[in-house]
Amino acid sequence: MDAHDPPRLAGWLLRLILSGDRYESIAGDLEETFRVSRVPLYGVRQARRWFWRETMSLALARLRPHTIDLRPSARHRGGPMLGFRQDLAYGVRTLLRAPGFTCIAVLTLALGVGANTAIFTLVNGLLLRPLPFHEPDRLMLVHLTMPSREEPGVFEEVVWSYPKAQTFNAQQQSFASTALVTPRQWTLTGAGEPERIRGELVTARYLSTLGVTPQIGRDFTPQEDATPDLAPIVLIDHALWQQRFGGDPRVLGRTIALADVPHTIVGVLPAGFRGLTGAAQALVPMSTLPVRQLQQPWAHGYYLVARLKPGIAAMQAQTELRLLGDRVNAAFPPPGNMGQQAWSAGAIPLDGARLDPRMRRAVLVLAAAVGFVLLIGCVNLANLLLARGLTRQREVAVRVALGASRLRLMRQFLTESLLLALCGGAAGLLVAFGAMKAAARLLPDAAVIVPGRGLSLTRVGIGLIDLDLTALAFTLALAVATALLFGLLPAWQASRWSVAQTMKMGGAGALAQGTRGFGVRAALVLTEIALALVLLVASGLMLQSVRNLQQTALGFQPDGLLTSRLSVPRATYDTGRTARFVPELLDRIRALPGVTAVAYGDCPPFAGGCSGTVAWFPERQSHPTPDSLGVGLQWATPDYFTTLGIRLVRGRAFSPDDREGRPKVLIVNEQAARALWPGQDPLGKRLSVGQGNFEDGPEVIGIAADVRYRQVETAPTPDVYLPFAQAPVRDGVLFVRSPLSAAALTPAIRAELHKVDPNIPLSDVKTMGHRLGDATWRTRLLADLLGLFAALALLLAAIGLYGVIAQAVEARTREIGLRLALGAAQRDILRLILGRSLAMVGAGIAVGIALSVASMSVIESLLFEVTPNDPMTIAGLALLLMTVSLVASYVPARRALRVDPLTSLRTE
Amino acid sequence: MRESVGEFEQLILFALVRLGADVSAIAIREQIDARAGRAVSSGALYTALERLETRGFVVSRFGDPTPERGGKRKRLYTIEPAGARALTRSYDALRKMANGLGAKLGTLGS
Repeated sequence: MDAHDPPRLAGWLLRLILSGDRYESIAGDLEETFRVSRVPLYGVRQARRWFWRETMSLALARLRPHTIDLRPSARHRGGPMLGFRQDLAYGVRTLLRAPGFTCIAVLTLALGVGANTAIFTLVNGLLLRPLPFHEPDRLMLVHLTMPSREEPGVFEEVVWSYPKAQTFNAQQQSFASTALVTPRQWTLTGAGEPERIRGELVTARYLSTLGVTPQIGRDFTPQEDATPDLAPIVLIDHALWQQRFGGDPRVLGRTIALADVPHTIVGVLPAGFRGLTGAAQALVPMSTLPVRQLQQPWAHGYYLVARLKPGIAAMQAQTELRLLGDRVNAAFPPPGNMGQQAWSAGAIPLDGARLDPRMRRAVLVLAAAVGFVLLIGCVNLANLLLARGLTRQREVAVRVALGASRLRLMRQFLTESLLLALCGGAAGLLVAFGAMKAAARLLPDAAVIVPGRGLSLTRVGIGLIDLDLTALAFTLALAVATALLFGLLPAWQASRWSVAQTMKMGGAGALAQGTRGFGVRAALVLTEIALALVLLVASGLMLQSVRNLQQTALGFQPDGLLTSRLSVPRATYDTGRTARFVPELLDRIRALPGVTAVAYGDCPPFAGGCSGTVAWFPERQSHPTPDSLGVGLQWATPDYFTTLGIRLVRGRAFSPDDREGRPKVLIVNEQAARALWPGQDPLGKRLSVGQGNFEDGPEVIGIAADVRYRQVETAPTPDVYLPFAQAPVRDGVLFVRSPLSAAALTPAIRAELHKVDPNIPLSDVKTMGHRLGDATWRTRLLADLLGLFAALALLLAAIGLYGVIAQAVEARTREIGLRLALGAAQRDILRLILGRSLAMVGAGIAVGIALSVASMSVIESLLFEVTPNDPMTIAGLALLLMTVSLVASYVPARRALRVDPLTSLRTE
Repeated sequence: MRESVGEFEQLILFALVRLGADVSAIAIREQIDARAGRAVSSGALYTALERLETRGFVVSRFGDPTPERGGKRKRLYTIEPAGARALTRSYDALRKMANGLGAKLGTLGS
C-alpha cells in the first residue's frame, strides 16, 4: 500500500480489459517488472508512467478489430463476459469514429440531465423533503381567519394574540400539544462585541411539540409559562454555544445579556435546529414579556403550531377549529373598525406553509421548464439516433450476412446506447454540480427570508441544499430509456429485413429509408419546435416583467443610499433620551467627509414589517369607525425627504421646531391625500391616526410623493409620516446619502455610533441598491433561468431541425441531381427543401402558440404588468423561432444547391 | 502444414529457442530489448504470444505466485516442435532471399 505499488486505477483497468487467466499472468508480469526493474532503475514516477503506458497499449490491443469476433460461436468460446467486452470495445470505437454525433449526443444529455438534477434538487430541498421534526406530517399551523377589509366575503389568515390563544388552548381536543412562537431580534452584549441576533419568543411546549430536545440542559417547563414576569432564561443554539462559549458544557447557569437584560442559560439546542423561523439563535420564554403586553387581546403576533393527537385526522381538527373559532370570536368580539363579520379559525399542515405561494409556484414553473428542456433533449437524441440508425443499415446488413444473430446485434446497439447515456450522465453530474455552486453564489445571502403574505416562516438556503442523487438517477434513467428506445429501433428494423434485400438496396437504401423515417422525425421536430416556443414565451414574459420592475418609479432615489438598522435599548433609553440621542448621532454622521445627507426613519423600503394603523377625521369622530381609512405609518426626521430623495408635492417637510411640546404635525402621501380629501387641499386640515399620541388630530403640513415601501410590485397605498421628535421610536433605520462606497462609509458610521454609545450595534447594513436587488431577486432569477432554459431549447430545436433537413437533403441527393439535370433552377430546389422545413416549423409554431395560450396563466401571478397572453410577446417570439428555424434549415439546404448532377447520378 | 511466421513472431520464437523451456514473457521481452535493441509494448507482445499459442507454436503453463507479482501466478512459455519448424521455414526463406546481398544493401542504404 506504499508508493511502490503500481497505480491502482491502471490495475482496475487491466482487470476490466483482461479475462481471468490472462489478467493474472499479464498483470503479474507488469507488476513484477514494475517492482523488480522499473522502480529501482528509473524511480517511482517514471515506473508509474511506464505502467500506465503498458496498460493503455494492452487496452488498445483489445480494441483492435482482429480481437472482435462477430461470429455467434465467439460467445461459446469466450463466455458472456468476453462478448460484453467485445461489445464495449466495438461501441467505444464506433462512437469515437463519429465524434460529431457523440459530442452532440453527450452534450444534449449532459445539459438535460444536469439542469434537471439541479432543479429537482431545489424542488426536493424546498418542497418535498420532510421537515426536520418528529413526524412532521402531524404538525399543523393553526391560524385565525379575519374577514377581509378590502374584499367582502374573503377571509385573511391572521396570527394569534396571547389571550385568544389561551382561550383556544383551554378548550381544544384535537391536538396533543400546542405552542406559540414569534420572531424577535435582540442585541447580544457582554462577552465580546455587541451583536444583533435573531431568536424566538416561545411558550413552554414549543420544543416538545416539534419533537426536539435540548442537547444539554433542560427545556422550558409549563410552570414557567404560568409564571408572570418570569426571571429571564434562555436556550441558545448550537452555533452560538460554539462561537461565544467554545462549546463549554459548563455554560449552564451562565448569563448573556439580550437587549441589556441578563438571561440565564438553561440549555443548548441541538446542532442544526434554528426554530421554525430557520434563523433563531436563542429561544426565550414568552412569559418574560411584561404581563400587560401579553394580556392585550388585539396584539396579534404569535404563530400557533400544534401536533395532532394520534388517531385524529386533519379534517376532524378543522371541524373542531371552526367551532373553537366561533368561541374565541364570542369571547373577544371584534371592535367596530376591524370588520363586521365574525372571526374564525383554521389550520394548514406545517409542511404547506414552508414557502410562500408565489415562491412555490416559481420553483414548480422552473421544474416544468427544465422538464421541457429534458424532453426536447430526449426528442433530439431520438432524432439523432434514428438518423444514425438509418446510415448504419448497411453495416447491420453486413453483420447479419456474416451470421450475427438479431440478439447479438441488439446487444451491441444496447451497449452503445448505454455507453452514450453513461457519458452524458457523468457530464450531467458535473453540470448539476456547477449549476448548484453558481446558484449559491448568485444568491450570496444563501438564506433569504421569504416575505410571504400571512404565515410563511421558512427560509430558503440554496447553499445548504446538497445535490440530489435521486433526481440524478431519475433523469438519467429517463435519458437512458430514450437512448435505448431509439437506439434499438433501427437494429430491430434492420434485423428483420432479409440480408439479400438490404444488400441489394445498396446506396439506394439510404434514399428509401431516408423518406421512410421522415414522418416520425418530422413529428419529433414539430414537438421540439412547439415546446421551445412555450419556453420562449414564458421567458419572454418574465423578461418583460423584470424590465417593468426596473422601470417602476419607486418614489425615492435608491442610488447612493446606505441603510442600516439601529436599535436603542429600552432598558436604558426612555423616550426623552431616545429623542436626544438620535439627532446627536445624525449630526455626527452628517459631519463625516463625503456624507451629503442623513436621516432616521423606522422602516426601510422593501423589507416588510412597516407599521400600519387607521386614520379618521377628528371633527367628525372621536374614535375610528369601520370605514376609517387604513394607512401605513412612517416616522421621519426633518432631513428624511431630502435624504431619500422623496419629492414634496406641496407644503413643507418636518423642521427641528416640530418637537415635543410644540403643536403636533404630520405629512401624508398623495394616495392618502386623494383618499381622504378628494378635490380639496389637505394642507392645514386635521387628521387623527391610531398611534399613541397622534389620536387627537394633528395638522397636515405637507404632501409627499408616493413611495413603494412594501414591494416593488405593490402599488403605493395611503401613508402618513410622523415627526420623529414628537414620537420617538427605538427601533429604526439610519439612511445615509453619500457617493462613497458602503465599505468606506460603514466603519466611519460605526465609529461615530461607538463614540455616542458603544453598546448599540449597527446591523443589517445594506445599500439601498442591495435591498432593491433582494426585493426583486425572485423575478430576476426566474427570468434568468427561464431565459437560459429557453435559449437551450431554441438551440436544441435548431440542431434537431438541422439534422432532419440535412438527412433529407442527403437522402434526396439523387432526386435533386435529376431535377437539376432536367433544368430545374436553384431557386426551385431551395423552395423544395425549405418548403418542407417551413411546413414542419409552421405546424410546430401553431401547436406551440396553442400550448402557450393554454398554459401561461400558470405563471400569471409571477408576472409584473404584463398579461400572460400578451400577443406582441407571442408573435415576436414565434417570429424569432421562425427565423432561427429558417437559418437552421437553410444551411443544409444550400448544400443541395451545390449538388453536381453528374456526380449524384453516378453514385449509383 | 506449411505455415510461416511474421517478423515480430520470429523474434519471440528465437528468444524462446535461446532461453530454453519455461520462459516468462518478461524474459522474452528483455531478450528482444537486449539483442535486437527493440522496446516491445505489452499490447504487441501478449497479443503475439496468444496467437502463437492458438496456432500451436508455443505452449504455456502456470508457475508459482510470488510476492513481487502481487500474488499472481506467472505464465511460462516453451516452444513446440511445430513452432521450431515454422521458424526454420520462415527464417530459411528470409536467409535465402538475403543471401549475398549484404554489400549491395549497404551501398543502396548509404
